[in-house]
Amino acid sequence: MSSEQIEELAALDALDALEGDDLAAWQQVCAEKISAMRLRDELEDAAAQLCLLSPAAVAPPALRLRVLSTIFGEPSSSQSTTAAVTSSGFAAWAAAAAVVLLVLVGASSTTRQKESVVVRDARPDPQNLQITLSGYGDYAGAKAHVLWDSGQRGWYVQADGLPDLPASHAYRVWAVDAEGTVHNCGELALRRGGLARSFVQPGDSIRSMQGFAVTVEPVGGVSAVPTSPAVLISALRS
Amino acid sequence: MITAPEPDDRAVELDLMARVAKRERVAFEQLYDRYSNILYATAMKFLREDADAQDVVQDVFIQIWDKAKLYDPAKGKPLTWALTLTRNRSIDRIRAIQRRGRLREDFEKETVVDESAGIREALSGVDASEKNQILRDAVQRLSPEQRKVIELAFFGGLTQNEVANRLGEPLGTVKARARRGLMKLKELLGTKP
Repeated sequence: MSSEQIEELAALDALDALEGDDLAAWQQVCAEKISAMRLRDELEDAAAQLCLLSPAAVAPPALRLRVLSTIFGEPSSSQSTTAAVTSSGFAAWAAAAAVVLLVLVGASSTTRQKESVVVRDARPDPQNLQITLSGYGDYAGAKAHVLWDSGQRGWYVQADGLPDLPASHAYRVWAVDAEGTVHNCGELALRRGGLARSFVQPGDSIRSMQGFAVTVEPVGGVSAVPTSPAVLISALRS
Repeated sequence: MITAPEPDDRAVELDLMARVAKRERVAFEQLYDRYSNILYATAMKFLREDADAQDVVQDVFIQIWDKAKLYDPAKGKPLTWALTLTRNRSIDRIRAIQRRGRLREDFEKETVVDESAGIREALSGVDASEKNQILRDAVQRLSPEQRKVIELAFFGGLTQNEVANRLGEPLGTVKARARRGLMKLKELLGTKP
């Protein structure tokens, strides 16, 4: 693909206008070229500034109270009862994840998915480090790629085929370290057509990584551990 | 047109983001006070309904609180990150409304008005801040065709094929205009290469 074509796809993605075959082609490019993702980020940054062309408006004072009470106030007692996703607890999640991961490792032992994934990767060419996540159950049609960016010391997560969620829930990325501890990497924002992406930096405290998973979590209160089964999960190193 | 924080404020905002990442409530409140009007104005531009705009702004600030520790200054300014979140949440909300079949016709009519009004209003604004002048100048230097494609996609939330259909132009032409327009905008606004 020519640089001009890459620029076209990057521009359209920055405008959130890509679809169809072009979207699929762009995802393939992004899975292989960090420079393409950086260009997309820069173009997205430029486009975002167009928001400053909006007519001035003043946020209602009540909104401030609402935001602060949502974040710092007591969690709503109705939150757990309105959740559309079954909470199975971290222990069950971890157990289920471990089974799935073992199966995946066995099934993909000849692929790059088996590679050791180190956050502070010191290998000469870590740009090629890519991890694939597979969907399960109702999410079998979904998949995701995680790509290491050595320049920015973080991971690009890009998923497609994810179904819409109720407004009360969002997709969340988790990193699994070498000890099997799960770390919250933040929300995976769902965009058009089941496409979602995020840039995650699991943190300096994690020295080595085994894999990634995505769960569906309630919006707002953030649990330190997953509260639902993984819908997307990667193979761990063997 | 919104007055953006001055360039010197970026260091302050980066500091606030770092403190928010450490879960400092005071820093979060300061960040809210700096950004809330800009983000609310942005959401209002897209949604035109106060209640919807407030919901979006609330979602965005929750996301900022939630993801501050993941924010990477190398990937963009805090404000543009927040604006992108606001734009995407607003478009998502519009699409959700459309999916439910509610207000579709009204939205499409309003979008036509909005697309033509957004940048034109800004270009005739009297905001004298240097930052906004740079932005106005940059937008003015795009060709009308490039500007239209960007407006339809960015503010109207249309896909590439929808833009092509709306303009009655081949898809290839739309792609080329999006590329040239956005690359030029990036260059003129000094977004890092």
